[in-house]
Amino acid sequence: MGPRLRRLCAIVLALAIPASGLGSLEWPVAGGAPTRTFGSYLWGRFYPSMTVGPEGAQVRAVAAGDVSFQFDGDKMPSGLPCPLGGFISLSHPDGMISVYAGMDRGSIPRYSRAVSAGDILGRAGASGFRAGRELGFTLFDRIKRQYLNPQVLLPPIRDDRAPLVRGLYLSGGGRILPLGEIRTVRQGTYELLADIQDPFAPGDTSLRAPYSIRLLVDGKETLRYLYDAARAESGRLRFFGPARADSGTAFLPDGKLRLGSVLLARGRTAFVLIVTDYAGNERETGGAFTVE
Amino acid sequence: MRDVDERPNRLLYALISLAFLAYFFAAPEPLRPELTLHPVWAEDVSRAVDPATALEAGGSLSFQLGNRYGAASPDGKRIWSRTADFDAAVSDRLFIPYGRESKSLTAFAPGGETAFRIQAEGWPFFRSGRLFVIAPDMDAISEYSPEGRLLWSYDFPFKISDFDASGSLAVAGLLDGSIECVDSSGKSVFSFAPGGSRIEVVLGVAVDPRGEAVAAVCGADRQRFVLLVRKGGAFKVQYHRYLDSDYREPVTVRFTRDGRYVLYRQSEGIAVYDRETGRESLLPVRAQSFDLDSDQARGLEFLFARTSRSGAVVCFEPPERIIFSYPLPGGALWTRYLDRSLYMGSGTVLGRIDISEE
Repeated sequence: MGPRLRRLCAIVLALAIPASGLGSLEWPVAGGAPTRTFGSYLWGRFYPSMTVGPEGAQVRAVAAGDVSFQFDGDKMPSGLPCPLGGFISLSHPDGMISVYAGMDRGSIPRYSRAVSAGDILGRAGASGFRAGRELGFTLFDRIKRQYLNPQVLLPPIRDDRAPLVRGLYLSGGGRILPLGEIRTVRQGTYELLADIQDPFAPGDTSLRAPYSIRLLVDGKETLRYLYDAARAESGRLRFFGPARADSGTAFLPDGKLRLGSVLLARGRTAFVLIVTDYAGNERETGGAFTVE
Repeated sequence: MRDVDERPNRLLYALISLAFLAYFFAAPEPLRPELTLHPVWAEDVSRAVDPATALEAGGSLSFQLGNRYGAASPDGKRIWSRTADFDAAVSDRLFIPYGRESKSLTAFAPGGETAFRIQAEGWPFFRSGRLFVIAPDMDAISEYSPEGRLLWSYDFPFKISDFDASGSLAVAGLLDGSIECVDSSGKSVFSFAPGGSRIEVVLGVAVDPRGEAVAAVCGADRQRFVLLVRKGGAFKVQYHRYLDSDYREPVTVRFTRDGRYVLYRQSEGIAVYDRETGRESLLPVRAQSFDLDSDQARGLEFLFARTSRSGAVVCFEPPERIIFSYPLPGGALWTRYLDRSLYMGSGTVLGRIDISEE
């Protein structure tokens, strides 16, 4: 990663914190680490929350606020199933809402009202639509009516490993080809796909999404995904950056991310994919082939 | 002395007699026939038999007791039941058992045969006979046809705290304090934030069976009851009232079948709002949650009240005249009023009580 881009990432993150109205948040699990992050592929679509380990950990309020809603069970009294399981929602000053889901049954204090940062809200457990016992954590800006990426606002985690681009593919004519294996293709419209993960350590298989993705075709930026916020518009959840991708169609069923369509004309075409994580680590990969 | 003492007494008796006569002629209130409860049958539904041999399709009563689901004939002679891995969605026509992390759902007909399979991650439920699936992150709803075809899918702006549907509308209350309404094709009808409270949240929401009114209990510090009514194609606030309650948990809100009354949980009982007169009454029934069934021919409502340990069937004439109250045990409680009979289940026992007029 170049020093200029690293500086740019730091500035973006620094600006995001005061803009949110929450100066400093605490991790909802002390010493916790995200296992799935905002924007990862989960349950067939873009995941606008994060899961935080370790399993069964005590859950803490990320900031001072008021309990606005809590429920301890898998089915609401109205009969509505509650796939969040046991959960608690806190309303913070400046319109922020934090939601802590997948809480252990009976662990949420029943009559809490106001809480301070760091107050224990319960214990992560096996409840709701998840087999694991990790916490599901969501941040929402009620005024802008959008999900916020919690990792942008939470204290940084030590991470010196660059994101992993496990595959970059060209899709067309019913075939999906790894970019590295392509020497020549026919001219036409193709879709670019990517399989990206952000590991913290060697062998780390947690499905974390990166913070940003940039795609350059023949030196020109054609796409930028920025995992900063997501917002439902007309019944479709879209995640931000200039792409405003539709969360329902942004992924293939196997989790490959759609980077968009490109019209390939005759000649030599070069792709560069630049992926950055929250710590500013950057991975650059790409390839070139001939279009016939 | 004696004669003098008796004179005022005679006058008093005469006055009391006159008052009684005046009461009988001036304030007559016809007495409704007395309702009598007759236990008809009670069966242990865990003695499951093959659905195909137990029931013909249709004409049966679907039930759910915890994760056990099944159907019974009204005479209680033919019953089948099965247990779901985790839970089940049950309607008169379909049974959908599901696991905690279901990636696909299989629906069964009352005769036990497979009706359809759908690929959907989430938990199914029925409202007004319509089949919905709520997404695992509780921020999206999909509706499926009775044949299992995806009709629409809607991503709500935030997580859902309550949901209700009529034949034509689907209404979601959200954790950010807004109410979102979607029509039967999955298009947004309105989005409304009641506001007026320091903490914005929707605790309970309901839509009347005709899709003409939406009611909600929302906010904290201060909590409010809000009624929206369709006027000239748009929904507008017709009534609102600040409440003394300070709930931070689900609050049941229900319309009666004719849509005239809205019932919602309060700390002293269940509030009943009459949409025709604009008056509110209170049913002195303590309940953490409740369901409603109507006997429109008799003008009666059956309220199934539940607390964490017990329950009760309360028969009342709206707005607040209680006819009888029948205590129920706690546990997995299922109740339904159908064709002048009460069906009730707890644990693995299902029973029927007929209600006749005498």
